[in-house]
Amino acid sequence: MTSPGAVPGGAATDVLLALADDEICMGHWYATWIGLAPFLEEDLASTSIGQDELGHARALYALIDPGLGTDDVELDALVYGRPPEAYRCAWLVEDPCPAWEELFVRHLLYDEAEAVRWQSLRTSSLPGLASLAERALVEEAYHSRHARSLFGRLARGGVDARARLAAAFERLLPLAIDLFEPTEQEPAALAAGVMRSSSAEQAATWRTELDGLTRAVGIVLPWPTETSSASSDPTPPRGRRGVRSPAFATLHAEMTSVYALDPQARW
Amino acid sequence: MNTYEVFLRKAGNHPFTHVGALDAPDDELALLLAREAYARRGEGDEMWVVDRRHLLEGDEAFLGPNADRPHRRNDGSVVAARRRDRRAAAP
Repeated sequence: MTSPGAVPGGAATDVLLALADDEICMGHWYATWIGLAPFLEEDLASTSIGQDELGHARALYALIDPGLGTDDVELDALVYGRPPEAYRCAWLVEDPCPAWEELFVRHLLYDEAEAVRWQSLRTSSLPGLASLAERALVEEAYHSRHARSLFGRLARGGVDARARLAAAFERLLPLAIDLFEPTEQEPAALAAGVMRSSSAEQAATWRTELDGLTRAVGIVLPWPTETSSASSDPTPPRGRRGVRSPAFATLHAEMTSVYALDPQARW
Repeated sequence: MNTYEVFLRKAGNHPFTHVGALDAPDDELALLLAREAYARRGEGDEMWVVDRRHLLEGDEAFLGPNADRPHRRNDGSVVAARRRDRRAAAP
């Protein structure tokens, strides 16, 4: 077994943070839509999903330092006491969610990615991560089924629904590909067995799934085109490597505002 | 949107019970949304979701005449009274 501290250079911690920070930000956006979804039944379903994501975030943060897994104050400090550059989330989950279709398309893109991601962690060498992945995959089955069913319904729902979906894909897809931006030391994490497939392999699976889903309803996803050859102009670092998007400052301030009132509080 | 009726059953010797209704655009979403609307706190172990259009309905006019059949509602009180009378009358 590999403990997070035993993997060189914080490689395992980065993997856990990438997952956990994604989950907590997604949970946050779901929470901002409580009571506002287009109809009551969907409101209950999507906020339940958001609550699951927050639960996954908590479980993942607890794995970073097994010593503080049960201490809420220390866990809060790890989660909310960090400066923005210490986060490892993807830019997709940092972006504001002003329209419901943006929450929905994000839900689809994100949960399709999660299904692939958790799969690669089912046999992780990191203590606790494999069993968490098994548990999460059970919940993810509902998330994906919900996203796919509603997507199919909306895509067949008429001109307005399709236009909204298309606009949301257009805006969010360039951010979503960063869900599979490798962490700084992914090779070390792979070598230690923290994850079993590389981000590039996971991204390819995710893309194939999404293309299949969308093609079935006559939507062609506007994947961003490769802008440069990797050797001469490497992709600039983004969320996974500690670079925050312009949107993050507002989100961070809001997410940590209650914690900042009294960091020692026990809730 | 269609309206669906939701029934839940706990494991063990329990019957399905009607718990409410919901609106959903199709059958699959009705099932998915009913799960969170009515069973998110583990209220049931099995669920039936029925499109209201598939229910066979008996209305008040149909059932009303049976409300006026007191002779079919035998709660044993007549027999009990007769037994009591016989005991009292016994020598």
